[in-house]
Amino acid sequence: MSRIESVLTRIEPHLPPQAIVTDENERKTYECDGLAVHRTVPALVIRVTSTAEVALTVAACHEFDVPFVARGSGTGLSGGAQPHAEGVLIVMSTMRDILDIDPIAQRAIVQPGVINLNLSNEANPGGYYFAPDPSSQSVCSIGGNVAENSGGAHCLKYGFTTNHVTGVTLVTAHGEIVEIGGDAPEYPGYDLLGVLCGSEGTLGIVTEVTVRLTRLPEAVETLLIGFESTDAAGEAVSDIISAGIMPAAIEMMDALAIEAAEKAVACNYPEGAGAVLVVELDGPAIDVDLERETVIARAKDHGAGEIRVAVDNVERGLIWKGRKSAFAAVGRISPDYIVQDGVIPRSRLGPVLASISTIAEECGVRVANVFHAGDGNLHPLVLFDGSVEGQTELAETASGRILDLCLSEGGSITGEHGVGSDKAKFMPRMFTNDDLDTMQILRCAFDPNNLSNPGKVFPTPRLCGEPPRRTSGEHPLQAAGKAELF
Amino acid sequence: MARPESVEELSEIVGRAHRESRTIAVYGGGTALDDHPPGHTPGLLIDIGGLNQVIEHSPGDLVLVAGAGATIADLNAVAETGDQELLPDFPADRTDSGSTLGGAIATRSVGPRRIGRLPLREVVLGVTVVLADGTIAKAGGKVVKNVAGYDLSKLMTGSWGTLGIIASAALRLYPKPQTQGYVEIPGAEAALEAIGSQVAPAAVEIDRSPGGQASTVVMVEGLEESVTSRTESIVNTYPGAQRCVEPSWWARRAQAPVTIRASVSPALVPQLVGEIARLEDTIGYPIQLRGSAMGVFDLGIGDLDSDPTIATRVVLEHLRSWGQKQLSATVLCAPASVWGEVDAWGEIPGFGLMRTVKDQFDPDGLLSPGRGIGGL
Repeated sequence: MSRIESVLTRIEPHLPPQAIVTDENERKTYECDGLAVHRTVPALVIRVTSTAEVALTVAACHEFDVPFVARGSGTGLSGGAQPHAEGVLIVMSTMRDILDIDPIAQRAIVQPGVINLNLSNEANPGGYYFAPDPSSQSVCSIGGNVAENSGGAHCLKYGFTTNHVTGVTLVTAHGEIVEIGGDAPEYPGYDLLGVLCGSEGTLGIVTEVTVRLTRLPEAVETLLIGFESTDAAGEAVSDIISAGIMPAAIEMMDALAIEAAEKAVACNYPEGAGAVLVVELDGPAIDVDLERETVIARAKDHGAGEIRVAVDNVERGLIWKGRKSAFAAVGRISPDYIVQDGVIPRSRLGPVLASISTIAEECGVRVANVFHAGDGNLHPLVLFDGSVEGQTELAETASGRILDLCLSEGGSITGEHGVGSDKAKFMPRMFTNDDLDTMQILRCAFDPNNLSNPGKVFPTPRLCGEPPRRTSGEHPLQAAGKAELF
Repeated sequence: MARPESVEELSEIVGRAHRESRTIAVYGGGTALDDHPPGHTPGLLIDIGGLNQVIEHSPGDLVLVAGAGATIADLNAVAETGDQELLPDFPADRTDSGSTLGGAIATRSVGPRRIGRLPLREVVLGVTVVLADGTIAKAGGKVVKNVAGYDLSKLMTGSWGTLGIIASAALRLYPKPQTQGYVEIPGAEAALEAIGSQVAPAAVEIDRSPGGQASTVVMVEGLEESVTSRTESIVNTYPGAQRCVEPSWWARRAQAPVTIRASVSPALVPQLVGEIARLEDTIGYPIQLRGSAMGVFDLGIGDLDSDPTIATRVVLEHLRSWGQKQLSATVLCAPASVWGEVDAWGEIPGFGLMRTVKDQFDPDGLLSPGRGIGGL
């Protein structure tokens, strides 16, 4: 009996028949997440509906040494939920209940499959919302947000998912159920929540999340400002920040991204602009009024053309529509594209954009830029046609060079999309072997057998077990040539 | 006693101690030495004060990178040159006494301004640490947004030196608000509503002296015009509310023989305040309460003329009966005799995993033994 069959035999009697997917065609529908270039058909798919079912499945995986991968809505852009060919894919989207919303305590308890936007919609009548808002918020799951430590347009002011999680139920890689944190804002001891958020499913599976809700602001003001060039827009951003204003969001799109958005959603952005800024201010009405005037004045200092202020939620929606649909919109102007997610110190925006143009020119590809200008998180979209010989390689080269550029500026290879399987190979460019090994010491505490979403984040797994000075014999992974001793 | 002048030197000293199986404690500003159990006498004391350089300050990027031995006061002065500030949520009494950056992060200290700003754990963008065997490792980075790899900066924040020694850290800065305004409201009933109100307070603190009535102080900050208007709106909303200056106790800890750190769901804050008054009556010991209405309080137990052991035990047991999902209560500061006589930590959610993390990072138990939560 194969190991997968052993797992199946162990869990089958305890699960409803619809939870188990063995049919190959059906398993194939789960072969990738939002990054479709990486595809693997999982050996077995389990659609879970409770913490107990997750624990049962993971305990069986642990017993028979079978890898497992958790998957939410599958909107991730770094292959974090790419299945394992010899492993079990645990589908969490069937755990989609909002268990409790308590505006007085400013918190909600949700299952990981709950859609991000649905939680806000449920909390809105009580005057609250869930602050993290990735562009995919109408489809992405909160469990996925926790795994990736999702940001979104408004994390400049409100922080990432990690800032909004106060407790989780974790199924460890051994299949044990552990409660971490709760309703209170501070719990004693090591910040396990802080490392679980953004661990990309490699430290176990979160099956319940307690989140902080944020008060809906008294006033929101959304501005769309056209500029002649990305340089002028970038300088305006610097000036707005140095004026002491902390907008809820500052987003920038360049001419090519605007063109794509126009074609896709007819967002009617200013004609002929070299760049647009979307600036959102929120808070007490009096502050928003004062800040709006400052933003407009600073924008005009840098030659702003048209300045549009949304008068109601419909107009606000239109302004955001162009920005939030930008990735998909690029499909209108290019058959294929690669999304990057590098981060730079914001003050280096001008020179970095110039270098990206040079890279695009040298590689013979087009690059559309959409980014979170407030925090220096770039999303260069490298456009190419995969059906043309050699174009895919050129696009990948351009992408890699853009990441190297971000690193040379003291930045990061990922601001919000995660490392996953896509960027693991770039980790050694950002971190030394000692840095990566130290991160994996943490992994060894949670998942010593390397079964929880293996092969993601780190280019090479670390051997766990005895410290080097008390080592005994060769680790099975080492013997199999799958790992090396650091 | 060693005083390294560089990360490399620190690494070498720690590596040597590791080879000799010598335990290590770190001394920064010494402002948290009275917190947590005294621990065992270390085989080596490292004075981190030599690592006090400002490595990078970029006001345009809202980032400051500095050595762990730099004092918060000095770094605040650096941040101010760009009209910015550091660690908005930080206790003033520790800053005044020379608290260092590394110490502030290692002890995850808290202050009042935790409502409108990101808390300390969120502003530490990256750290360089020296591990138990002397390995130098960095995590995170120096940009305000970064999800590459595990967020070990957060693991080190609040680890009390038991997982690694922080050598330097990168922090996100905040624009310095133009001005601040304070309003005092009698009682604790208004606190919860004030947190969720549209005046968007930066802090809502509750202070109750032993035997006295609780009072709530709401602080708003921002542009002059806005602060004036928002303080006025608070004064008009709550009966008995009046404008005040920053209270003398603001961002300062309760002074008592024993301090308990209690954290509760914001919804339970009024009950906590009531419960403390009742407990005080029942056990006949003075109990002081001070902290953020977001649900993080210091409870000062006893006075100088009495042994606070029994009172501490009773308060801990009472509070813990609420259940750990709603409340955590641990001893923060106590005389050496008290630590052994009370259950200082109670049930800590996830403690088994914490123990495993400690064993992986410091298998020989050389780093700050006994100083961490639950004796880690």
